[in-house]
Amino acid sequence: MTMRRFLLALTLCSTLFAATAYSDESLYVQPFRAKIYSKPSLASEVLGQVDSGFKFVSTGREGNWVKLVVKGKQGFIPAVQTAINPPLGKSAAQGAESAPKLGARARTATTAVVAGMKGLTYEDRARVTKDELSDFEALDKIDALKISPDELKAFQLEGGKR
Amino acid sequence: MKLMSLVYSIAVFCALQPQIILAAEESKSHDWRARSSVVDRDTYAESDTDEELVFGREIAARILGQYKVSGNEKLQKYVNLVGTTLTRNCSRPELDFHFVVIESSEINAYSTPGGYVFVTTAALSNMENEAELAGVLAHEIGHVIERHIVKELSLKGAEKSAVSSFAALIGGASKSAGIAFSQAVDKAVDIILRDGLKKEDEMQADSSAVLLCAISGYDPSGLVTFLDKVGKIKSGVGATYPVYDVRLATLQRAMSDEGIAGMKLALNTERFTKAMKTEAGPNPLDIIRKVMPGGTHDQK
Repeated sequence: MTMRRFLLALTLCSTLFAATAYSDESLYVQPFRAKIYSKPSLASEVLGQVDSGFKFVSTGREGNWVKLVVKGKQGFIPAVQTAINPPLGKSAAQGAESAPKLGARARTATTAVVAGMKGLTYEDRARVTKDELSDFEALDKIDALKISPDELKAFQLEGGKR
Repeated sequence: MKLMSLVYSIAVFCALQPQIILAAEESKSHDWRARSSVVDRDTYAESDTDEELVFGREIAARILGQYKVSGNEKLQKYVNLVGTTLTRNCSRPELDFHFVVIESSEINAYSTPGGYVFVTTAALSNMENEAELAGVLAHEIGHVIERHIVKELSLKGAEKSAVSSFAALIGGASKSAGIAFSQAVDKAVDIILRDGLKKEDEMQADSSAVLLCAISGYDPSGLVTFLDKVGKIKSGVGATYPVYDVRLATLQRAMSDEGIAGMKLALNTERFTKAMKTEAGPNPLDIIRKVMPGGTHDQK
């Protein structure tokens, strides 16, 4: 083996090791609060609580749990409460819902506008779908149903029974 | 010379390592527990959320074109309160989830991207307590959190690729983009109402559901008792679900592993029973249907 091949192999080796040996990822806590447990079990000791937006480096996953190190101890947070990006604001998600609430008669016009935005006339769109009906009026009513923080708090206080 | 050979061997091993890992992950993809560890945790920008919601609304409107929304506003409110209790603890705080009771004699629940969750009146009438309702809603929330439909259609977020397929599909102004959008909606509706998601997705949603229930204070056994009942009623016929006994066994093992199997948390049986007994307000359409031939149908 020539020195050139040796160096090539050495370079390849070190590059690949660097790329594959470390797979930790930064994660963010998403809901308003999350608990850190000592084991991947809700029955284990609670090491502490963190708020929405808390950033940490996960040292791995175990089923539905992500591992982290907190104050020198290994801890676990339910994966269902974490994501790779910081908590997103509601502004973006509400953008699509901010269309004016119109009556049924105006619905066709609204639908035409939405379809037009996608480069289709209402007729085009009807042709490419499977002739299945959509009910945006019912959807508007569903969107209108809101739960206030006070209602939710009262509901949660009233619960907790078997 | 020996050193050179050793280094060369290590280099070859390293070069092959990604393929070895890929092969291992491929074999894991059939096991939900392993899959939840390797699941693609895409990055999503706010614009993707916006587009996901536009897509989800389109699908939800299509579902509402087929099923009638229950006119019982008190029950709708109650189901939304249970659902919101769960979503306060989940990883999509940017979404306003909506929970909808739809009239159908089929025991089922559906969810769309963007956070529209539907539960049928037949499913509700087969429940005995709020924990069972929470379990079913949490399962559907699990599909939304993990973006199962979005992934099934191979729609990627903006940060995942140079040209986001999501953005191209939803935001494209061309006629072909519009047609692709409509076809994607058709496909999503087919998956949700007819074909069902992958078995692994269902099991992943089950396992995250029991965890979400327990975190939210609901007895995690709710989903288990409900699935057990439905499995006996349907005898495994549900086209959108894996065979119930396998699903139950997997779920019970997951609950045991995660220390939630023996947890005695809230069932809220009394409150559920009371909510189910609330009278729906008079619906003029029902009065018309009574005098029309054909009677009431599940679907519109």
